[in-house]
Amino acid sequence: MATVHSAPTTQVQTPAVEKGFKLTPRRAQILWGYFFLIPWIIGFFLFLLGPMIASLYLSMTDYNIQRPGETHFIDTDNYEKIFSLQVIRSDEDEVDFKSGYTEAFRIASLHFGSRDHEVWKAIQVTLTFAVISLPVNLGLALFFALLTNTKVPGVRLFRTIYYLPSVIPAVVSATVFQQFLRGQDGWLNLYLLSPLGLGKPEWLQEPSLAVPALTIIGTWGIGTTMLMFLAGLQNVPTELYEASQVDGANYWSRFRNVTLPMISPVILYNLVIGLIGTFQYFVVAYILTPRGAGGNELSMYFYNLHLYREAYVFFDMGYASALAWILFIVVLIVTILVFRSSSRWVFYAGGK
Amino acid sequence: MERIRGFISNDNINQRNYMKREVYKVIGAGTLLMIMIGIASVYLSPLVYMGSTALKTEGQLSDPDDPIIPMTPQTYHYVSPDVETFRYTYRHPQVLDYQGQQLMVYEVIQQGKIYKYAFLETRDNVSVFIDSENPEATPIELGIAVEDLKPALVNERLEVNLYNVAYEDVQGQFGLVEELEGNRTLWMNPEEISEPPFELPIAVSDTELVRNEQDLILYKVAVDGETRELALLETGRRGARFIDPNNPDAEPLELDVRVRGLDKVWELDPHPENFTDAMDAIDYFKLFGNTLFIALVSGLGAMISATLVAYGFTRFNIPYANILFIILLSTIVLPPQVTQIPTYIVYNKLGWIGTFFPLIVPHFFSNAYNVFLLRQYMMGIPLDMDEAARVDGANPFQILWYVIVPAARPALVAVYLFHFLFSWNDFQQPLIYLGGGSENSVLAVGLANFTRIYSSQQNLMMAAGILTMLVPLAVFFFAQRIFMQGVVITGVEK
Repeated sequence: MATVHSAPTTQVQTPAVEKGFKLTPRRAQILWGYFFLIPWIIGFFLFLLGPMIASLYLSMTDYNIQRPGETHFIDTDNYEKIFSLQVIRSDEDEVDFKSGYTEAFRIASLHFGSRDHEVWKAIQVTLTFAVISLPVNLGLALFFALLTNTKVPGVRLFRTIYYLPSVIPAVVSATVFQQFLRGQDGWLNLYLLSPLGLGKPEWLQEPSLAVPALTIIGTWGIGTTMLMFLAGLQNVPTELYEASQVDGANYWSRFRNVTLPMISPVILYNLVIGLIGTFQYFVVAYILTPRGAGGNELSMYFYNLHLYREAYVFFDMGYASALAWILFIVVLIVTILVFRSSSRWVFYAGGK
Repeated sequence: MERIRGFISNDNINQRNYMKREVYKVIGAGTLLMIMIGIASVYLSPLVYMGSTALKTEGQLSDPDDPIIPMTPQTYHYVSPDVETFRYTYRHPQVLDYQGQQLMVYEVIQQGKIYKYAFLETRDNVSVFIDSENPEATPIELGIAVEDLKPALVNERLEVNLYNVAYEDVQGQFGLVEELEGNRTLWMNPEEISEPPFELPIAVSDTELVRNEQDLILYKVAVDGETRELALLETGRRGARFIDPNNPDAEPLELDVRVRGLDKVWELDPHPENFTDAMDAIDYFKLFGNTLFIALVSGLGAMISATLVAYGFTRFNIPYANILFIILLSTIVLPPQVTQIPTYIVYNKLGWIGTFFPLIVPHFFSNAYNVFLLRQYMMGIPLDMDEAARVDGANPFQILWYVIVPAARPALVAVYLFHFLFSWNDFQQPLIYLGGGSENSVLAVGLANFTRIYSSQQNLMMAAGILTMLVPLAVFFFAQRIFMQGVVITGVEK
């Protein structure tokens, strides 16, 4: 090692590019800088921008990897297929407006359907899950962070314990909870709910309990969110608490008026990361509904499962690309909306 | 001293308040601790379930009283004092005991009637018989040869004792029909009652009586105010009969108790062989090797590329660095599904589907999270050190290697560990690129298959699950601090 590195010290100062134009030290530095960015730049074009453009093009074809010869450019038909949602039947009239369409969901007496039978069900499941599981996860993570931000002996151990499930592979936690949530002899029912007189709900069979069950499983992944909150809480200056204590504020008003505003940037960060993660929810639903079939009444059929099946089970990659782009656009819009709204509720201590 | 005196004399309000506050603090901390313990035990209870189930047999799991810890009900091996018997109808030639002689009885037909006469002797071509029903009468002389007569058979109803017999290749539980002279015995087989008895050249003392033996489950029963461990013999209409293991020869205890309400006596009985069974079932070592290889190599790529890019972003003051960095960060929002399909098609063309390349190669081109983490860390490393190195004539590679890398070591390790865990736990990518089959796959996919195929064998499933998460857990425990700091650096600090 030593001999290898001692040799080049004589010919340093300027890199070997010294040819056509004058290489000032500043220019050399810039070149070096870009040189080190090369892995990312190559990766960006090779694995991001290139595939993105290709995917946009694919989304306008009916490309199927098993029949590449029969590919046609079909314009926006894939997107029209996704958005062909309309009322197909109304209970009051008892008339089929559109025969051949399968019902996706129902609002009051109106039945909706689209050309893609499952996509709207998948959207519904995904949105329901996001609405229920995100607040639960953020709330629980904040609660854990508040608990472990106290001066109780052994608090570090509890931080470790609460973080621990986050390092467990999602496949493993899905496998465990599959048994843990069983109706008759699952431990949750057997040792917690049943003794409390709450009966023995069939968490994984009953369609209306599918999202709550997945939310329970999801609480095993909040470790990182908790640590973020914890770091945020530890960055709140103690003077603020002391000042509010002098003003006679109780714990709740201290929490509302000091803690929450001070950690609001962290809440924003966790919200955005959580949203992105929720829209890409996959593993647990795939394991719990063998091979991603979606479970009873498709109650666990997530958007990403649908995308996976279209792409890698039916190899309908053109249509799957369209699904992926819709996902991207929705994530983008939601993220932008969250950031837009953040100026109203996120408080930056630095005054930015 | 001051404080204690103040407390005792009760006249110093401030001191009293101080004590009060101390007491509240202790009570508060105690309550908080209890809450944290309570939450932790609920939160981690699936792990407890996992560990205990992995050590149980299917039989233990199907026991409705199955306790949390892998245990089996303790049993008592009960040997009943009663001898096992068998009702047997022994059909054999009739013999008459006549004045100390054993006489064979024959059926003699005279005037359309069957008489049972015992043959005494042959006298001048005349056979002498004794009437078996009336042996006191005078012997009957008949001109019939004994050879022409049929021996009379009798059905003797016996209750034979069963013995464990082992003689040469004859083995089993046989009923003792008769002891014969010269250490020989006559046996019957209870399983083949229509067969005639057979003789063995062994004495009864060479065999052993069959006793009624069974394993009785022990229960904790309250008898006369004290709890005793008794073995349940049988349940009756009212109450049950128990055997006291300390006094097995006594009469069974008749107790008026409901057996379903009794506690069994449990005994620790873990079954670690589930783990080896699970290992065999999923070809563990091969999948483990695959997973480890992918995680180690792609982690190297992720760490090296992120180091280079972060170094480029922080140390060279390049134009548009901020815009480039924002572009880099915004790629976090892009769902991988968007780029996955075209890259899949390309990998397919390259023949990479079913190989590890798609799981390794892309990581050599850096990713936003890792670059972000390293950039944050490198910005905190003072510039004067690389200034000094530059003055000494070091090129940017040397500065990176001798100044930045040593200073950023914790962050580098964090990046490597994060990636290692991500790669180890990843399921969707291996599923897509290596296929859903188990062969040549990674542990996560192998476990998913296993779960589907062995869904009825929870114990093996849980053992396989533990085997899958062993490495992530070990990494976490050994590198906890690096880990938690790494999370925080990426997240909050500016």
